[in-house]
Amino acid sequence: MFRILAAIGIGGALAGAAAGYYVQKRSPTEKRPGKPFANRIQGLEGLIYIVTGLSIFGLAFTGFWAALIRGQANTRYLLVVHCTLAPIFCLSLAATLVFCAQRYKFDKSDWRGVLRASGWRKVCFWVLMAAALPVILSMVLSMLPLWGTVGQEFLYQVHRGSTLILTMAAIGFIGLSR
Amino acid sequence: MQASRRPIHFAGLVLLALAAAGAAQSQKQEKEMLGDGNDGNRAVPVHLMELLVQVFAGEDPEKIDPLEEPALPFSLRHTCSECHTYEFVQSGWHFNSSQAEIKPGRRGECWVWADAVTRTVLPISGRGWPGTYQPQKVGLSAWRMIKLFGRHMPGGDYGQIYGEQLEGLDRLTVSGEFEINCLACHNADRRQDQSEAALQVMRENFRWVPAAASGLAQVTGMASTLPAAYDVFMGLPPDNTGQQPPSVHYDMSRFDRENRVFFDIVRRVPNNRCYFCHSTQVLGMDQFNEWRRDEDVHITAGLMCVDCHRHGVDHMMVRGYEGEERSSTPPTVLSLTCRGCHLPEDDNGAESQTGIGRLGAPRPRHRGIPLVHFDKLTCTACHSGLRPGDQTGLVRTPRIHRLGLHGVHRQDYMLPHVQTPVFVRNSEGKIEPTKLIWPAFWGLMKDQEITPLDVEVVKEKAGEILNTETAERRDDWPVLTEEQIAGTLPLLGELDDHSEAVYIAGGKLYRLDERGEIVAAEHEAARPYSWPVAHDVRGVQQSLGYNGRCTDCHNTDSAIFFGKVAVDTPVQGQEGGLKYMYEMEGEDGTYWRMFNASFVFRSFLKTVGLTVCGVISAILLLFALAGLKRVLSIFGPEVTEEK
Repeated sequence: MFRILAAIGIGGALAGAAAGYYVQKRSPTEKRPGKPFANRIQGLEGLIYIVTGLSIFGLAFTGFWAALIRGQANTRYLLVVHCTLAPIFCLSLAATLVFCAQRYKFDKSDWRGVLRASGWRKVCFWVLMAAALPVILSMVLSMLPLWGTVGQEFLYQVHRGSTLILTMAAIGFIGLSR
Repeated sequence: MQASRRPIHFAGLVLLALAAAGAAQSQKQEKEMLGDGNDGNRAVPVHLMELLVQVFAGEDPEKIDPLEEPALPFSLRHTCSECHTYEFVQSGWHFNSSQAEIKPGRRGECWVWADAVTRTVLPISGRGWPGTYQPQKVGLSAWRMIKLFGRHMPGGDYGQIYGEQLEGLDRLTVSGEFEINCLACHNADRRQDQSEAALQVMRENFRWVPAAASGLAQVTGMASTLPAAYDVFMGLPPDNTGQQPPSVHYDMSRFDRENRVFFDIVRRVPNNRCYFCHSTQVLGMDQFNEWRRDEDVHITAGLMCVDCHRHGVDHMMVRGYEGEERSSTPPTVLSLTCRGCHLPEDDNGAESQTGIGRLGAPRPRHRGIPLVHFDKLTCTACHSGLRPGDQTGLVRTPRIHRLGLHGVHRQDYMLPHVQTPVFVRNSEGKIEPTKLIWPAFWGLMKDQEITPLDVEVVKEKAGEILNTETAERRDDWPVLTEEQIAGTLPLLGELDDHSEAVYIAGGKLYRLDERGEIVAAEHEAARPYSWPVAHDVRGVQQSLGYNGRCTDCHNTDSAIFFGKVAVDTPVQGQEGGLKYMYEMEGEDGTYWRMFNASFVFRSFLKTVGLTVCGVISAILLLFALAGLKRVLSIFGPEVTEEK
């Protein structure tokens, strides 16, 4: 079931991001003044973005490869890579939030009758951050001797589900960035 | 019965009458016997019984008169058949290893033909478990199976078919059939002595086994000393002083005036009866400190072996392992496994409707154990057997090391070296603890297929080279030199021109190359034979990984991955070889080193994770409140205090 949901979710997010990118490119109202997003981030902030992006991509790849392609839980070397990237993801994500939260506050320019691309990007940002909480917490809690088999199963499902949401949000965020 | 009443008893006559006996038995089987069903009363009926024996095949059994001279040994086949269908019982797990149509189930403890002189450790089983050899393939007739292993057999099986084979044919009339000894398990009387039964088997007094072992009678004499033509029923004086005809002397106080005897027969067989064949002695523990060892936690809690290992009238024991329903005949009760009691599963493997396991078993919490462990490990991996250490320990078992017999138990027979716990991957793909032996034997190889040679044949051909005189060191391997191997192989090669003589030991196959030099190579037949450990189950606090102790297994020198398994061999220069546990499991050592090393950073990961969660939560809360404030401002302007 999760395999199907994940395939639909990630596929939908990719399609949505492509559509968003296309709309931004064609519509003059969606174009923002100034340099493209990629050129605007520099220095430490840029590094944090890159590290966060790469760790999310790495974690998503190692996690969903097992779920989507092999149809089973993540194990062996992929799991080692997954676990190695996990603390990097945690730290870089926290740094991203600290440095960029102000930038992603909603304002009136995000809303012109409908939510503009910039607004959707902010939605993706906050969804990503909100989803990161259960993603991290579910794994950390499962490592503590507090949860039995039923709890472990619950935490595992929470981890998978919230990871899917986080990944979709990350795809949307990147797709809507210009 | 008086001797004069019996005509002369000829072997041929008996054999001819066997067919008639079979027909009579099958007629009897058609009707349900008194003890085959269940009358609904849970009380075990009092077994005050007349003892019976069948003197002539095809005739009705006769009642035992203990005062008769010579007294006859009673037959449980006929005594118990008054109420129970013997043929049903005969199909049971303890009596059917020679029947090819029975599904073998998972690997179990095999018989081991061990011989120090020829440096042989050969796993034998009629069940055809991979890694074992069928008795007939290695020259063991049913008669020789009983002679070698009958000491720990409950009768039936090979004991009843040996007379159909050439090698045992002439002994049938003297020794009689080795019938199922029902009392071996079901007699709760503490006088039941299986060591005495073993003694009678070694003396070839098969038909006297139940009487002697039950404590109801004393049996003297040895059928093995008698010629095949001797009529044991006549009780005639032997031809020479070396012959000692068996005779039975009943304890008269046990008979009532109608010559009936009370047997304390129970359905719930006492553990002591099981232990005679199913025990494990830890050699690493000083025998004087054996009392410090804990028993299986279930036994300590008051359960009996048969509370889980149950059976019906067919005596097809529940072995109680996962997957038994797919590999046994007939399908067994799934809920009588670890999971059935502790994780309540019904007989279809699904969670039971009540959600309650059997026998009031506690439901395990498995706190901090990720789910993947239940896919990769059997329950026993964490809960059963000796707690794994840096190197596997040696154990002895009754059936392999003849434990429990008079005069033998004090001696330190080490061979064969049985190691435990060795973790291997089972047919279900899960890792489980096992006992393990490394096979060692001489054989003939043809097209890469190896047929082990009869130990006696090897002794006959190469006894001198194998240094019989000094090889009497029976407690451990005598060293086998390459010169001895090189000298023995050509002699054994003479046995078959189309095959090549080889020696298997320590995971290697030894053969002679074109130059006549010894070469060693890997071979499938040299792989160790292992069988799962189910008991003793340790208390939950003594289980691996209890309460989130991940490092019980996940550290860079954990026993379950990096414990050492000795490669047992008598070959000089090869002693002391070791294999890592991950090799036995078919696992990747590099991966497990890397993965287990990552547990050093686990505390760091937890700290980072929790801290980051705190930071994210705080910022999200801050912005959520700010957003909420914004939303509220839509409904009314913010009131500020005037200066």
